Amino acid sequence: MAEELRKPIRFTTTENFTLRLVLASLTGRSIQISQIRPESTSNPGLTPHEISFLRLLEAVTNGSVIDVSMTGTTVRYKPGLIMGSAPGTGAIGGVIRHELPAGCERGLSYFLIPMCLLAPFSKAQLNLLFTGPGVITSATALGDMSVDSVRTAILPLYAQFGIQNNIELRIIRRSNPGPQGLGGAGEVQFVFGHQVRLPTTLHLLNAGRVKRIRGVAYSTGVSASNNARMIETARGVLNSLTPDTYIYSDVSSAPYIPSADKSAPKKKIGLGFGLSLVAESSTGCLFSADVASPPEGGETPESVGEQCAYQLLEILSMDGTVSITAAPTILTLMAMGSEDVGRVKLGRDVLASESVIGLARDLESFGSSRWGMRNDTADDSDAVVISVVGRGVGNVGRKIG
Amino acid sequence: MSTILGKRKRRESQREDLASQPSTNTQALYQDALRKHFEANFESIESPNHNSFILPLSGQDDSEPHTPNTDAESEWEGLSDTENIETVSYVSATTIHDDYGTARSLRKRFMGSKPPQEDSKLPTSQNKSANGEKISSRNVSNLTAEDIALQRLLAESHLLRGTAGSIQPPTLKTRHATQDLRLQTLGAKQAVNAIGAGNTPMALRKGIENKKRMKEQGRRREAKESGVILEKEVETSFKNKRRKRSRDVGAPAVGKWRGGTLVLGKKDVAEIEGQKFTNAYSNKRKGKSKGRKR
Repeated sequence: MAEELRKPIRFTTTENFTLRLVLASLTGRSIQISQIRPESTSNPGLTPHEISFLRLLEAVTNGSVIDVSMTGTTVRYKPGLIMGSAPGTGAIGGVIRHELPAGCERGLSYFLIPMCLLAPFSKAQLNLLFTGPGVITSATALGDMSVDSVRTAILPLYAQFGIQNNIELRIIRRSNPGPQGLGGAGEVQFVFGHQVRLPTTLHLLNAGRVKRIRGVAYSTGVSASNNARMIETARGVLNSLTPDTYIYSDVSSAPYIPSADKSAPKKKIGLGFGLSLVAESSTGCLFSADVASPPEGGETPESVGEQCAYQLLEILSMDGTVSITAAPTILTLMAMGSEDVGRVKLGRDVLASESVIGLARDLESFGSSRWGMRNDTADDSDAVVISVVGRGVGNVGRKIG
Repeated sequence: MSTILGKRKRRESQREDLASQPSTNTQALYQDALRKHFEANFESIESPNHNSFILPLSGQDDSEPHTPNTDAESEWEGLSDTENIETVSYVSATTIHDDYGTARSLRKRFMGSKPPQEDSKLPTSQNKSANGEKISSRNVSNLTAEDIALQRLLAESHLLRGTAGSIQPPTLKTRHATQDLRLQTLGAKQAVNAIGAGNTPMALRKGIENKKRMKEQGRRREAKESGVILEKEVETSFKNKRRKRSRDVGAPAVGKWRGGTLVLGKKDVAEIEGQKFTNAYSNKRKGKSKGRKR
């Protein structure tokens, strides 16, 4: 057994990169990821955001070993204890400051959602400050959700697992993606102060009806009228379906980054606008949609607002109690819960999505028991009820620490 | 005389007619404006005589202001039994939010840094375990208590290091250390129970400080002799840091005389220039006056 535990679990390619690393940290198994973009002639190996995530992981854990091969196409990760922002690790004044490089093309949710999964199991509270010329708080074209959606649609889900106190996500400065979708200069502080032994068992079978829709329209460095235009079109679509629709508007100036040009020592970055919508059902299920203006521009706020509204309707049409963006979070927390059977209703499209199937395979390779599935018999929907047995371990590292 | 009386009466009644109409109208307008203002700030008024504010307004265009009331009463046949009674209700944006709070508090709740909390309770299905039994509130509080106990154990585990394996009753030292740790997690700035804190006699405290310093010096000396590089010494005492102005006779009142030149620091320059952006109120010098006024 011990021999088997010492051997790393092998994965290939960067699919589910962050989630695999998180699962490794939570289960205490070391992993090896190989074949990371071996065929790319220009940029083989790890990208800046992946390297940055590895650094972040090293900052919040203690005693983890990360080996990257010469070409960057292979990573070996041996997890340590999840310490959070305990004094004496990487934290200064109880805050871990993490700078993202300018070449980062992923939104901040790429880093935030995995950190949310680690935080409940850490030894001390997690207090992270994301800064630097690579922090994009908006949604991106690569499918990352905005930080607003993380706060309004992902973090409230933790309350269903009994994790709800002292959680904060403060957007200090907003930023859309910069030119060519690279970089931004936002600033976000993330505090996760509720650590538990085990998340409670979840039974989420009743999706209910959509009770209200809330949203945030943000524009950074561009006219505030963009917000009004997005809100008007989005409400035009949604109001007839849910009268309780309210979208807040947030206008901010563009962040600056220092530039090499002597004549203009500072330059604006991260201009743009976007919309984040969250639908809340009568039973507390949350469904979110996110669209932001592309970095090259050329899209009207009307079309962004309309796209976002239709995206929300599409997500709602998938049925089930968990949206496609929140499914990995919910399922991972269920798998890390107590040794009890939790049940959750998922829409067929959500279950068949790449991320959920990938997660199921990964969980199996990490030694979790398989999921049980049955058709939902409660009503005429074609959703699937998934039963997940928790590991009952919580976190291996916590036991030792 | 009678004609005059009659005339006056007629005149008065005419004047009353003219005067009463606008007065009721303006009163209604005032009340309507007041109601609107009230409703904008507080809840909507669901008064049964709500329509009474509007009725005089609707009767404004009538040529005979007095007669319609009686006419309406006589012509009133009660509500008809027909089904198609059209009811138009105007619901403003503020009244939508009335169930949850004011618009401001809602904005604070949704746009703040915390994830928005649900106003309603979570569905009961979540509070059931797999066996179908409800997790009682006692059980939940038990779990929280366990969580707190575990967190305390993790935080204070280093105090138990000496007692390997065996559970012993806490000594005074560990008890005090634990209490200090807990107070510090609650936000206390310094230890209360540690020796040397609080009401320790001065002589004793001085001795403690001295011993501490000697110990540290010894450690550093030994490390230096054996070639071990220690962490940088942190100057803790505040007294040594504050440099005093040279009080020599003939020393400059401002800056430092060094190498035949008067060297002015940033602070000195700021003192000479005074506050840059002053207004009429902050022009006065605050606090103790330093030196001569310039």
